[in-house]
Amino acid sequence: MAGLARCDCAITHGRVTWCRLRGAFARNTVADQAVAGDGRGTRRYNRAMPQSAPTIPWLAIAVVVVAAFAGGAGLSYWQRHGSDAPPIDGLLWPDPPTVPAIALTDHNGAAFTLEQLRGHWTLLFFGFTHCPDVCPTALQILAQAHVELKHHAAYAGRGQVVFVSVDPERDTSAVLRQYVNYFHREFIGVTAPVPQLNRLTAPLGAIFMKSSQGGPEYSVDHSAGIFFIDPAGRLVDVITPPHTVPALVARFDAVSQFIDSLR
Amino acid sequence: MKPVLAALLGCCVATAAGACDGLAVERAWVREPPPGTTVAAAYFELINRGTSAVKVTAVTSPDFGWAMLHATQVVDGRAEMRELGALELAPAAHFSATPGAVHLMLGEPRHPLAAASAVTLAITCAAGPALSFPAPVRRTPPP
Repeated sequence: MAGLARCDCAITHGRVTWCRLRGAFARNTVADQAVAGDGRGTRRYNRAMPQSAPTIPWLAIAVVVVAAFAGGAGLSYWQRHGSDAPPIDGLLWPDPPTVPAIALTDHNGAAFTLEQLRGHWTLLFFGFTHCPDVCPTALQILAQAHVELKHHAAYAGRGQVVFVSVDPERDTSAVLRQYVNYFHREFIGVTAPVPQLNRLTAPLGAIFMKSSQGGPEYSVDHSAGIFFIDPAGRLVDVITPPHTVPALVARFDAVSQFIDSLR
Repeated sequence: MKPVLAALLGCCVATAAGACDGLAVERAWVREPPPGTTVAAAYFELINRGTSAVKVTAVTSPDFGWAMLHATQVVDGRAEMRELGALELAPAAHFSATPGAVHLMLGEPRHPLAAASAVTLAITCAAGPALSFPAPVRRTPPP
């Protein structure tokens, strides 16, 4: 559940790192307030106030010392966490969830597992073929981004787009094959029975559920973000809609540059 | 208006005196349904160029078995389609159905659709006959 909450945060706010940092800071703030609100501390401070000038240098020195320690601690924290977590929207760092080893079936009827993600940068999108608007819009943009990113060193030769259907009832391999090939012949369509899909989506913070809002047939509400999976099979970023090709390419460049710099 | 320009705009601008009085339609298009799918989405812009409010009660297509106007809402990162009711357009008001925001969902096509063809859309208003207009089928949004 922790992973789900973390990723929900990422999707909602688009900046999971800062959300988590805010959480850390919030905890510090609460702790600070607890200390500041401590009756003894307040009384000590109040006693110091009326004292005359000779006490002020000691107070100033104390402030400087505390500030130095605080600054050092902050610098240390930044060196340990901040420096390896650049301000990239949606970045899931330093604890990116690993894509679980779920057996999926691809658009050719072959097995598709975590192994097919390893060594690749994967742009992953959850959807379904009876989706009239969000899915074709995202896949059209992904197709253009896929073509453009082939000229980027990090993506060339090891970039792939995976469409995960969350509607296995209607999206057979044959249906998926036609669908993904329409957008780009290199796109990969995968799906699995709902229980396996649940095991795949939960740790990634992705969600899907049937809805009665799609006309005479059912629809499926689903995560609308594009999930970046790094070559180690980790979810490292989620880019939320509205999507554009330039924004997608720029985000990929920033994220891949950061991840590759850690090796 | 020069005849050539009028012909060029004929695909995406429609007005009809007496039908949904004052309502104009621009940039209408239908996304080509990927093979194997039975649903499509239409997009358009409505502008009330009249002097009184216009109430749009339905948008349909004789080329499809059913049509529903949907808003796409992204809630906590999850995309949901929700049906819209009647539209009230005050004078000079615009309404845009654009990808990722609002679309007319079209189901059960009565004939195969391919890029470069067109479908007919029909707007019904609270008063007056329906306003019909062609929407070209495109693979990608118009520039």
